[in-house]
Amino acid sequence: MDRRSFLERMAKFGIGLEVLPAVASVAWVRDRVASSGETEAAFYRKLPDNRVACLLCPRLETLKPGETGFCRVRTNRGGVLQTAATGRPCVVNLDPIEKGPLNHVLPGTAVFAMAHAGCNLRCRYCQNWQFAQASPSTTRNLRFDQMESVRLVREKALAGVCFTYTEGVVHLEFNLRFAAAVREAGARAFLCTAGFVNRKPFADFLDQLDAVTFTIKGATDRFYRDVIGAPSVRPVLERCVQARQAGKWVEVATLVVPEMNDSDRDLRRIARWIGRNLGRDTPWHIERFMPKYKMRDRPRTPIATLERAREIGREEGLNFVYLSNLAPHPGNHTYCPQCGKAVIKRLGFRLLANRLKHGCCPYCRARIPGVWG
Amino acid sequence: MLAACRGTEIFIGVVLAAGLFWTALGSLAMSRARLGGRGAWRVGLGLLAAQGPLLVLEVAFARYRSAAWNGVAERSFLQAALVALAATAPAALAGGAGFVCALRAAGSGGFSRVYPADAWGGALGGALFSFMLVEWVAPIAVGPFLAAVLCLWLRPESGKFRRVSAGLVSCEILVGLGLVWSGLDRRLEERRWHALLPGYRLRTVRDSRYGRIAVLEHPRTRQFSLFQDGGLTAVLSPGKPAPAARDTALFVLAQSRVVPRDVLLVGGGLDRSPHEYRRAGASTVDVVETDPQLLALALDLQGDGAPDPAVRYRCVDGRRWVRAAAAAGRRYDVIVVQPPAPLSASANRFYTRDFFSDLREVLRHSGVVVISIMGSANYPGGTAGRLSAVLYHTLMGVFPEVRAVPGDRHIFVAGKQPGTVSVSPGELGRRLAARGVWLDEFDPDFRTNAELYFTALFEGMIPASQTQGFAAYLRRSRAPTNTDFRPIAYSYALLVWNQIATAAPDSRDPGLNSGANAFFRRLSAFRFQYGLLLPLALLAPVPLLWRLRKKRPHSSVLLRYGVAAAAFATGTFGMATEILLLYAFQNTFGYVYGYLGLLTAAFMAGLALGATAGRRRSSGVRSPAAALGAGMVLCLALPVVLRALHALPPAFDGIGVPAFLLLAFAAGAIDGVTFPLLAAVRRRSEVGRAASSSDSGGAGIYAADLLGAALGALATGAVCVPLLGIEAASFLTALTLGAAWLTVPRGASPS
Repeated sequence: MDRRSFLERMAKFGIGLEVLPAVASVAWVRDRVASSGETEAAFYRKLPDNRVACLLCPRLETLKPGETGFCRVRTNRGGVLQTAATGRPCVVNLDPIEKGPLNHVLPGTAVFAMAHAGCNLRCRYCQNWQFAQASPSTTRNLRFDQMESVRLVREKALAGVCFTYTEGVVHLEFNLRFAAAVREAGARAFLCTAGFVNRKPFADFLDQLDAVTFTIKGATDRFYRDVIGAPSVRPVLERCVQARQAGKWVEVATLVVPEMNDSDRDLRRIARWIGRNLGRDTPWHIERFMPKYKMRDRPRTPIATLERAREIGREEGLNFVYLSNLAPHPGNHTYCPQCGKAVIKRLGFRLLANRLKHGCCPYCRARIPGVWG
Repeated sequence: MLAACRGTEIFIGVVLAAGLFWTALGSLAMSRARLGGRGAWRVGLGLLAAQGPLLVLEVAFARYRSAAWNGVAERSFLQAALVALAATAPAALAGGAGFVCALRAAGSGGFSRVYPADAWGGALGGALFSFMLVEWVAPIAVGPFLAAVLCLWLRPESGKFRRVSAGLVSCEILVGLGLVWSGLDRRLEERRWHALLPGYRLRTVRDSRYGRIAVLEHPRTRQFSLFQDGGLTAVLSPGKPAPAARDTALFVLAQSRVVPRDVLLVGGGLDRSPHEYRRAGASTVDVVETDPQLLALALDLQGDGAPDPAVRYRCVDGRRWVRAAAAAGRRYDVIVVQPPAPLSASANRFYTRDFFSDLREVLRHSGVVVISIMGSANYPGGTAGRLSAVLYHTLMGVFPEVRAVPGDRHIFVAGKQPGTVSVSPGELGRRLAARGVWLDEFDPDFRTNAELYFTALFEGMIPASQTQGFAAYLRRSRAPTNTDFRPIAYSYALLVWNQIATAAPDSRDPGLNSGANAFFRRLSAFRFQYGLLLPLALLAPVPLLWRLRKKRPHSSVLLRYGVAAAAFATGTFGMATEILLLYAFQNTFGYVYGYLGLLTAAFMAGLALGATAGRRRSSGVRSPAAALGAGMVLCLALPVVLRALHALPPAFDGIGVPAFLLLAFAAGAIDGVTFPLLAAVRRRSEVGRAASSSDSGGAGIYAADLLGAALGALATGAVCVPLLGIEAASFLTALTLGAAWLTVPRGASPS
């Protein structure tokens, strides 16, 4: 070995000695940073080779070590499924409860609305895409103090907490704990969900909820596949029935997208299903589509289409059909199904007048179903 | 391609770069082929004839691809680049190969004749496209007609060739006529819209100087959607209420402490908005819309009966109108600016400090300016948040008070005096109630308590919690100021758009780290010093080659490298200057679609004249170094000249367009004159070698020039102008030329 090659080898050896630990430490640090703030997820099964099967939603994904689920929230870290939604919400607001939408629950009150980043659906018109179509590691998250938040709910006399904006079931572990804490403090817990979740986890969540708004986004599997990024509408319908059977107050919302789910047939199918399976007193919110996210070039829903949908709902026997994202409109108000008079007047999400007396119509004394006090 | 890709500068850069890349590759590939003069003639004629059908395929592919992209109108930068690469490949490859065939057919010394001819062809094509074809013939039929004219022009000498040529001409004409009569263009357009908006009926498609207009009709509700270059511009529902426009009008007019008399709408006046401002209490409404064809279509579709004399439509560029109004002493109480997202220079100029300063001039003492931008109602951060921060800080640089309301579109309200604007629903409700404003569709039960009603209305628009959070976010954020000459909002808007376009449904990545977005995110940290890498890279091999030359004195490798580097830098200069001019043209006049061909024609005419002059001894310029020096001077002078043109008052509009054409011509001339001079230097190094080697050298220079041009188009359009501004982009181009100037061989060219 000549002098030159000896020096070359020594240099390479030295570089190797220096670089390898550095590379190893960078990888270790990266892993630590990525997993910081994560906790072990519920509802998963360990599989051979450090793989895990997530049992939270109907996708039933099998994740290899290091792999993150479709929801961008749950990651397999060495054979343990970890969730990144551990009390680092990216959005916390005080919203009117009607924004849920929940029109038959404590009208005129406000809720502590919160959301973590991530969702197990890929709606092409996602209204909150900046954080719903993101992961908690890519959003600006807030420092959140559970005790402080519960105190705020009580101090401001809020109706309770509402898990909304993104899919609350994806962040089930934290939301369950927080809902329990809020209820323990005497307030209520609400959930706005697309309902794409498995029976068991949802049953656990339901135990800590007072009311649920489901979004039935379309009538067909095809719509769910093409626009929502989910294989089928069936799990959603099953969860609606499950919530109703559990005795929770249920409302349903449908965003009407022009020429995608706005045919008379589709709308009638949804309305009929609600009437038959959830009851004719279940409020149905027909929401106006606004151009957003990947459907920014689709015009907003024509008002005539929304009014037609409202007519269809009423033809199918639903007693409470509302129009959202369109105000002022007679479809914002609650009418007594018996005498037909307006008992709650709203302007969009804002309450103008609540004429109910102990949950009954002041004109004909018919009971209006809901959670009024 | 531009109509399919939104017609922004980014895509101009991408499409030009893709075309130039393939042309370079075509010429390089053909330079390796062993063809004699006669064979080159045959192949060249074949390639020329093939251009017709290839161009048809190119347009058809661009239309088809844009339709077939999952029915999503948005294309990410990477997708657009792939479409551009795929669409331009056949015709551009054939073009590049054709150039070398022409070179071979022309025989020795043909290089200096073919290059100017190529440039003249470019100039003629650009002019023809601008003045005739874009108006008279569907773009898809342009290719065959052009190929027919060129085949006719070649007039081969041999009888057999002449018959073949005549046959080809006939075929091209027949194909062109067939395309016109078959309505294929319309059908492709219908197919595209059917994929994007199934169920909607394409009512009409028109080309205007400002872009391609499409009107789609919702069959059951008679709702019309107007699109310009693929972007949704307005939605019209004749005879139906427009609640969103009404609420915005009430919110905007409530911002003014006094009863607002005169309102100016810059954009956003195609729907019922002007009438809603009138209903909400405005005495006069001036509506400024840029595109007369679009406005005529919208008014025709609205069909509102008797026009309201207090609503005055002005078909003029909004910025020019504001300047003219300031000069004429016209003043407004409220100005509402509703341009499209700042994804192009023409849209970005409505979000700049320069424009806001102009607006301030035409505001009354208590006047307010309202402008909105895409956002997210519940979350202030993310890519859209950064864009909002840019707008906020730009407004704050001009107005003493700026308030923001988060929503699907964030609304920014700026007052000329502090204490004017308000985002308190109660305060705004009080103002409207005090003015006695009340509309028919409101609930009569609340007529006597209008304040409560308006407060509830505004509470829906201005969510208290979100508004406070958004204000805190904006105050904390640090963002650069958006100006005409440093359009940073353009770059931020590109990030938002690219994130939306890149996020794949089945992907774990939310569109931030996949596709070109990771690149773009890193790019936002691009600094001027990084731009120095290109000139440094050009200089880097020189010491090595210098040493090599010392060892082997007869080697011409240093000379050849100098020539190639100079050709590369010249290409970069040519295309960078063209992009800068296109950008500045949009900045000054607000559009470029109709002038794209003309500016290119002016550049190509300069190129042709320059190339002709460069091969004559009498031209005075004998050294490529001198030409490169002239290019540097032009680059350094360009920002000053462009600023002067930009500042010209509307009365001097007549000299603006010719000045731009002159600048394009000058840039082309410098580019053109350099080329034959470099070829001559290169020929000097090839003395005694085979002719094919000489051809190969010529093709190599041509390829280096085109590759430089591709890089110049891409770097200037996508990186330098949005992130660093026009001045810095010009300076970097000058430095690139400077580096080439140091490497290029000195001395006069041989005769």
